[in-house]
Amino acid sequence: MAQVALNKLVKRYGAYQALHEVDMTVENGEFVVLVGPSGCGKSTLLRTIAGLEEISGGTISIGGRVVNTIRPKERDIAMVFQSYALYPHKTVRKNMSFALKLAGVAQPEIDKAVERAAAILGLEPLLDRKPKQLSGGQRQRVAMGRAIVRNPQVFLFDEPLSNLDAKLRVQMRAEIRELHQRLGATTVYVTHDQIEAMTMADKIVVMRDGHIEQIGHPLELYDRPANRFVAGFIGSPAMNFIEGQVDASGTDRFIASDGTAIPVSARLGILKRSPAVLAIRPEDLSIVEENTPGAFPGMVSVVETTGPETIVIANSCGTRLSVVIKERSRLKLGEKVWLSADVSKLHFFEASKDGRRLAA
Amino acid sequence: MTLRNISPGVWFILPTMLLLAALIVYPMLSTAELSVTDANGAFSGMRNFNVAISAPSTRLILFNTAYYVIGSVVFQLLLGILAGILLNQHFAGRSLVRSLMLIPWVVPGIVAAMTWAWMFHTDYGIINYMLMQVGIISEPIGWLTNPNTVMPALIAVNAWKMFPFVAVMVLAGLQSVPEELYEAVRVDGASFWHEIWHIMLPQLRPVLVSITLLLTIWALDGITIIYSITGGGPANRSMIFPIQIYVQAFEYFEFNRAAALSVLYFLFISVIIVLYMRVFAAQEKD
Repeated sequence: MAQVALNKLVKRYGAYQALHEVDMTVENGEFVVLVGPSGCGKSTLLRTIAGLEEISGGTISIGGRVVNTIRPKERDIAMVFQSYALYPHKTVRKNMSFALKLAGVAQPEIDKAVERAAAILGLEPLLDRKPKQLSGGQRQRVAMGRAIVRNPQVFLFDEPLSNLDAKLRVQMRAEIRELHQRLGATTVYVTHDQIEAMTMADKIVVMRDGHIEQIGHPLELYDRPANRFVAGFIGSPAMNFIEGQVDASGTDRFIASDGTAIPVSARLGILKRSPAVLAIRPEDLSIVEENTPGAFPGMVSVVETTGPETIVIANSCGTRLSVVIKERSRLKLGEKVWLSADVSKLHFFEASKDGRRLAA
Repeated sequence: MTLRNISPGVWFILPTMLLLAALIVYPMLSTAELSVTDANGAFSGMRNFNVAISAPSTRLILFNTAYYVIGSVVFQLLLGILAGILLNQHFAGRSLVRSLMLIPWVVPGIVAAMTWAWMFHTDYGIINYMLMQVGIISEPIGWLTNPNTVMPALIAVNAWKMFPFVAVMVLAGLQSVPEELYEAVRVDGASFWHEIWHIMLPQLRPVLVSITLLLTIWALDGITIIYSITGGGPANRSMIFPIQIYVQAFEYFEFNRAAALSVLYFLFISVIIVLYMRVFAAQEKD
């Protein structure tokens, strides 16, 4: 087990810069998830840690040792690939033992390590099969087995669940998490799925365009997103953003661009007059009676039922607002509703492009 | 039964079937008939076969054929795989080298054979000249006249002629190997040699099985190079089966014996192909 530290890491492909001076530390035994949209640099970052990409600047250290120019095999890492990259002509047993064999480990020890990993992952009955005789989930497990057998300092996962169906993905998510708790290995995990990030991570790193947008505990990111991008990326359905400004007349209201007034906390005096973005999570909005104080109107445009909850999308405040309600809804399309926002759960961001969080 | 009752499928395949019958089935039956008759068309039983089998040269020719085929295929594969792997690496001028490599394959067989015949010439050939200039040999070697060097020389020409084909197929095969497999094996601690042995060759297996069959067939009926360079000499030392059949038929006009040799050769090749399919094609399935 080891700490992974990235210091001012830069990666360029010709004129294109994929990573901009990335600083990040993965503590010993920590499960860190890199998350972001396609092309944000998360996979590139993982591959530089693995040594599959050369870096253009900065340092990478694993367990206190700078590994910038060290080849993948000497970094003491194991990687699980999106396609699993199992050796198609080798049996499961040989797939799992290959790295140890290359390292010159004695056969009895290899056997022991493979048996142990197979027992952890429930692969014993499959050891003599070839990858094409396995289902997607079994291949996924073999890929993890191949990583575990080596007992590496760091585990790297590159979108390992994206080729599985939804149900299996949820199951494997839990298994990987359980495995991590059992082995306690330092892990860096890449995904574009924010739910995977939220459910699995000790610490989430949100990336965009080769920059780190925010690093933090999942709930910290959820409750206090550092900017509008993180706010919109984390959480499903996504957070609602309403453009406008805090009322200058001193009545503690936020006036949306279409003139709708939403009550806000009195402490927002400092924000008065400047354009801002009010953000609120769908579950912090509710549908209320017409005469409720502070309620503002909207018109129902979509009603989605998931079973335990209902997502209502309403045209209001010059935008479309998602509202998550626990009870079943009889709302009809085009019906007028009254919405109310939980004043203690409001977020404010700058109206600028960066959209940084405004203190409030 | 009227014409209307015949399935339309039959009409579709009929032209091809007739063509095949005329071009393949008829000559085969005709050859079989020739092999059991004498020059006057009278039935002669197995006499032509007995003559062919008991001829002292037949054993040598069989040996030469096997030598030539095995030698050619082995070196074509070795050189081709090596070239394919090298040309799959990234280096400056790769496209140019890839194109240049195709030259031996593109050159007409007869042109290549005549050029090599000159290069191997004992007195005027560039090969002896160069070897003597650098002091590897002290006197000229009769590459094509020495019984011990003639087959290796011909095999070298055949290997040179066909290795680009193997290289092209190997290159195509390698380009379909997913990049993640190489990365996985690198993370697992493999060297370049390990990559070749554990990733490239196993992934190329289906391609190699098919091209080995093709190369074997081409070597088995490969007349051009040997016939135009040595004509089977010296003293039958480079004589292979197809050339012997040709010589019997069109130089000695012994059509019946040539037919008997053809039938024997047909059986010989059939055995090889069946064995090959049994061993490799069966393994391919699992």
